[in-house]
Amino acid sequence: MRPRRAVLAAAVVASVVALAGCAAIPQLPGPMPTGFVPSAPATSTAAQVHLSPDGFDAARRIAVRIRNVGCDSLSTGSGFAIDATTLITNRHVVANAAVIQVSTYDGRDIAATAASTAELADLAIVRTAAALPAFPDLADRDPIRGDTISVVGYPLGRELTVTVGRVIGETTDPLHANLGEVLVTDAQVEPGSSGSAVLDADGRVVGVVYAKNAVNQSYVVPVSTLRKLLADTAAFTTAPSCR
Amino acid sequence: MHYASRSREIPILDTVEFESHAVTQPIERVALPAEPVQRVRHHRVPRFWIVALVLAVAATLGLACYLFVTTNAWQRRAADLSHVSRDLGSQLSTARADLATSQSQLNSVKAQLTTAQDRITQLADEKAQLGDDREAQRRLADYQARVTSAAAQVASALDKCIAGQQQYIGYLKDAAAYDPTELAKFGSDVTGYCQTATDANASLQQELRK
Repeated sequence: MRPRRAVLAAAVVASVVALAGCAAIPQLPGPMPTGFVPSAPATSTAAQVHLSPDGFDAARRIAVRIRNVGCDSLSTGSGFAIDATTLITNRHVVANAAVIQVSTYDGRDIAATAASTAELADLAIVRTAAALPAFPDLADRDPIRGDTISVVGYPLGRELTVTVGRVIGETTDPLHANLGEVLVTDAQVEPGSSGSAVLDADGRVVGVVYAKNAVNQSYVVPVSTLRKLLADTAAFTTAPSCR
Repeated sequence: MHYASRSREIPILDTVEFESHAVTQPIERVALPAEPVQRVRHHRVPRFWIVALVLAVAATLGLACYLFVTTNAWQRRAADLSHVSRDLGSQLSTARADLATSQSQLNSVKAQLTTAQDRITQLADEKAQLGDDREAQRRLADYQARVTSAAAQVASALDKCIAGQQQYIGYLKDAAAYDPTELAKFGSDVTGYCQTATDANASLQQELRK
């Protein structure tokens, strides 16, 4: 090939290569973008589930203090709401009362309109005239050994307290107040804690405190018993009164 | 234009072969061949290549212009983006400062809320204790009222009993002056008063044992 022709061919090839490279050359910038700040992400509602109007957690908002004004006695116990106007406590908390007085975690008094007790377990239902602040869900199953639980109540009739413990096991009721087995936990309770709600890690009710032993272990009516009795309309009868 | 040249490998030109001689040798005049010498053939560049070259040069120039314009546009865009970045950086700095302030305020509010909750719980407990005390005082007041009532009944019954007995004793001192039947009835009534006093006293003792 002669030089002139080679140069020409090279130029043509170079031009072709250059034109072929047009695919890689930068484009002109488009219009100037304006939305550099992304829109605010949707607020997660999960974090709002456990919020309350006054900052108290749900465990405290469900708890109530019960005063049993008897004809010859005065005693206190604990309880918890299961719906807007119904609360659960122990049978021995409301037994032989002339008047039952209920107060909430923030000190509001709520009138009790009726009380009924179960024959087969140390459980009672109290109806209220006004709405209770909050109520939890009942767990679908009983807790098992090793599960962490929280007890919410008024030990010694004093300040509302949340006590954490674990389920130790199951046993037959040493007081013979309940049919079937009851749970034993290491959560410390005191007189006045009777009727306290026992909550699982998700805040659902898994039992009701009703007694303690000499080594500070607490006895709990399991939620399965509570569910069974709530489902039986004949399980609860009017609570005995001292009048 | 084409230059005559020789190549050992590929003869290009149709030329007359000359014999070479040493420089020192005298050049001999040779006779030219009878046939005319052929002209050197000019090899012309095909028009296609010329057009292609022109197009390529034109394309290259166009590309250069385009790149120039594009570069200028991107430079302006880079300047605009730098300005926007500075604005956003300023806003971010302000937002971070606001966030720090808000976080501090939130912590303060949380602490206040915790204090308020503790206070609410304490007040609820104090109210509950006052309620317990109120009920206990009410029970005590009821008890005292019952005891007082029982004591008053005892006192009243004893008073009637004592008065009746004194009167009965007076009647007995002059028993002949009275109808024995009426006297016996009066004595029975006095015994009733005293029994009432005894019963009232028993009720009082029962209340006192509560």
